[in-house]
Amino acid sequence: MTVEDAGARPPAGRLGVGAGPGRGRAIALRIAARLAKAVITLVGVAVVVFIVLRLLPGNQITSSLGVNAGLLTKAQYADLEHYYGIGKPIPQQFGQWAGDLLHGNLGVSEQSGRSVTSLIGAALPVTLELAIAAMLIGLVIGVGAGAVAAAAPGRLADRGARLVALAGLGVPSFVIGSGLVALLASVFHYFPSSEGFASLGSDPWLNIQQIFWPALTLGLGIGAAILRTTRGAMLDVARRDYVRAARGRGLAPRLVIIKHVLRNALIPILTMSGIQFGYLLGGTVVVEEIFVLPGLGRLLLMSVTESDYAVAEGVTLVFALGFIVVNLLTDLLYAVVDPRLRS
Amino acid sequence: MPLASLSRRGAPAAALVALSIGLAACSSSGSTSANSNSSTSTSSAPFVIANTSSVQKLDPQIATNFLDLQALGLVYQPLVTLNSSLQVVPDLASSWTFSSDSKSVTFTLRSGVKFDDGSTLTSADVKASLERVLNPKTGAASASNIATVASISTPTPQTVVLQLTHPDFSILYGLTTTNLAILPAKAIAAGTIATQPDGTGPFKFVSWSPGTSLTLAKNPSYWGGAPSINQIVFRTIPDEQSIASALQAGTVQMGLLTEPQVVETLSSTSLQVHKELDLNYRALMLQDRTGPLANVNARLAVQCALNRTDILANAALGQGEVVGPVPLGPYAPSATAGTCGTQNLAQATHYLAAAGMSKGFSFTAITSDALDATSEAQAVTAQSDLAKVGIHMTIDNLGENDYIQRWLKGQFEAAFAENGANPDPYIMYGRYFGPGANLAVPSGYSSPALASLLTNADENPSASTRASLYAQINAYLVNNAVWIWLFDSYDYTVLASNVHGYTPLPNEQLSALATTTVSG
Repeated sequence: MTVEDAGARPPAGRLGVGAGPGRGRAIALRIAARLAKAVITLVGVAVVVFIVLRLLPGNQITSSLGVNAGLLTKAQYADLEHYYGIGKPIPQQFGQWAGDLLHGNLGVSEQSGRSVTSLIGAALPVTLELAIAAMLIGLVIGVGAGAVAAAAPGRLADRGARLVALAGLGVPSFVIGSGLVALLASVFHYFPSSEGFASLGSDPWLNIQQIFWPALTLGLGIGAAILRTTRGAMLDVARRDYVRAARGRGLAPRLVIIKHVLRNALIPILTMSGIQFGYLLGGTVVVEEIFVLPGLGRLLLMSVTESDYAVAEGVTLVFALGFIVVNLLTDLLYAVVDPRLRS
Repeated sequence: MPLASLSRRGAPAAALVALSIGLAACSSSGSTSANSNSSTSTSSAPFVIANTSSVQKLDPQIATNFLDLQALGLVYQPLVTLNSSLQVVPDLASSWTFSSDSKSVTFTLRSGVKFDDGSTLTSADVKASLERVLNPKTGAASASNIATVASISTPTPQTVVLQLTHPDFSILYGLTTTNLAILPAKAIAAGTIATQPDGTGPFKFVSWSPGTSLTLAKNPSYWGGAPSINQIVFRTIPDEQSIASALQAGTVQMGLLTEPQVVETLSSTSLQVHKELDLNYRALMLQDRTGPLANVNARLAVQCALNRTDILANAALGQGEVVGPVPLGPYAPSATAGTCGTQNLAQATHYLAAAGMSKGFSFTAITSDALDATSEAQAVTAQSDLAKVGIHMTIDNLGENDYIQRWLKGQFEAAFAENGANPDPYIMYGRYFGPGANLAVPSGYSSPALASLLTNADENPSASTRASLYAQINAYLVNNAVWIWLFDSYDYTVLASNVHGYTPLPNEQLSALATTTVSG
């Protein structure tokens, strides 16, 4: 029996195609189809976000002025309504925004007066760094502890890992984050974000400290999900005939695990990692706020709070785009890890 | 199949995570201390001010967020300001005089004042600034402070005359806000106010990272003398406990705090803790036009039933003071003056009987913990007090936007509110109860007698007569239980031990930083 006989198969709807002369064309068509779906998804997200923001109580005037909006005269209020475009039919507002968007213009923040593109450009690297760090931590925890748990099913290490996974999945990231901040600040008087955000280029060590804790907060939840998937997948593969055959051929146990078990368990782990990375982008909203990271999540939260529609819409589109790109890349990675897709 | 062989591979991974956590904690707490030493020992290190809020706007005339006004108050200045006794004193104007008919006021500008771009302050800048506020397109809420200005003239480069529609002595208090700061006419014309602050204050704008920080540098040509502090950074730290820790670690030199529990943890440190009543007050606003609260005796019954000291104790851990309609300043009345200055349940029962509601009545009060963290706690204590005399108050805790919408439309029977105060009662209540009041709807009450008192006080040139009229207004508000004034809580300014010469002002402006020093 060969590795190709393994039960782990690419999930339905992924980019698996058969071999043959039209394989390249088929892959190109599949990718094109996925890109078309991505565009449709983005349009859907744009419409939904555009409408939902306008269904929230209040408007840009009351978000900006609070109860002081009551101090405005009717003339002032009317001018501000005109400025913000309040009162125009929503389709007209959407048409104007979409038209600008197609020209690459995401608009201007009504609160800060800065272009949305520049705000996103400044915040995106922070969120990407956080997401990648969280993913790495999640993978280390998930794959590492999952493998340890699968190595001794039912034993103390396994029970401990499953308990950690349950806690990681059950406890929301805002609770973990707030707890970490409280613990570090109260006990150790340590809160690296109080020194202002440092980029990786300007102060690498401070940057690592500022990114590590929020990444750990997010990584624990991701790690828990990956841990459960890793454990389940490895236990499933370990029961396969080809693994027993490999052991029967006298291969060292460690090689059996690495070459046959872990490798064939990678597809579900990869699937779960891709999904988690997508959700991770959403998780940054809360965690960036708790740890004062000037990333996209914090920008989104501020813009929604202040009814800064252009910023909220722009950031949401970037998040949606990130989710779609990550899923697409995950699909492409199947071809790398699954030999059947390369043949 | 047992996979025991992998456990030896998994263990190092777990150990790596633990090690990295430990290393980061240990080494970074070490580096924080090191930074703290360096940050306070060299004069070039920034002076960091931490707050849970963040600077949201750079335009001082439309900013409403309190931190915005504190930060921009270091860059921009109004014509007049408030001193530590909350009396009007010169700022950019060195003097002022009202005309004999009290329908115009002439300001003489301080000489030698320059904007950050090097240009000299002139009366044209004052005219352009105030006209910008009055322009409806600006959307400046503070336009109501100078609504009586009919025209502005500039007889000389150093003189500005405000022509008023009618006498308005409260305009001086109205002009003290940073919202009426003087901007360069050139920047107004160029439309750069919202992005490139250019003021006359002791510090000048350097950079702004929305949601994160604002950096200012000292203005070496400041007319009041160059500050000792070279650079100020307003930094956002969303959790007050973290601010306290940053203060202890030395990475923050000033913390602007509101939570007494957090401040208590700093009492045994070398940090300097100042507490002062802020210029906000908590009140139970009543809609007096319909329903049971339209009856003055029913309102008085509510007033008599409430134990305001308990409400303060339960909602704000007692960290504040029970206040009357004007919490601070020369016109502040005694907190216990007027009907039922302290809880009197027998009197409450008496008022209920007088209202024809001996068995009590019911009403609903809105709160919003999102706007004021003490809001619902105040309501719960009040609910308990009112139940003792048969008044049943239902609490409707709302989200921020819901609360604001209902408040603005007056869609409530009662509202636990945190409102901004001013030392001048006309500024505070003219907007609610005066003739043509902007906030007449949420105020829930109107009375020609009260409106007349307010107008008379505002228009009277005699300071002693104005004081007497303001005392009558305070008494009217309390004795008619127009609203029920509850308390004013403390704000806390925590300073590093090596910060010298800083005295918090009651209006919470940070202008004392111009003369503050930091030792090595």
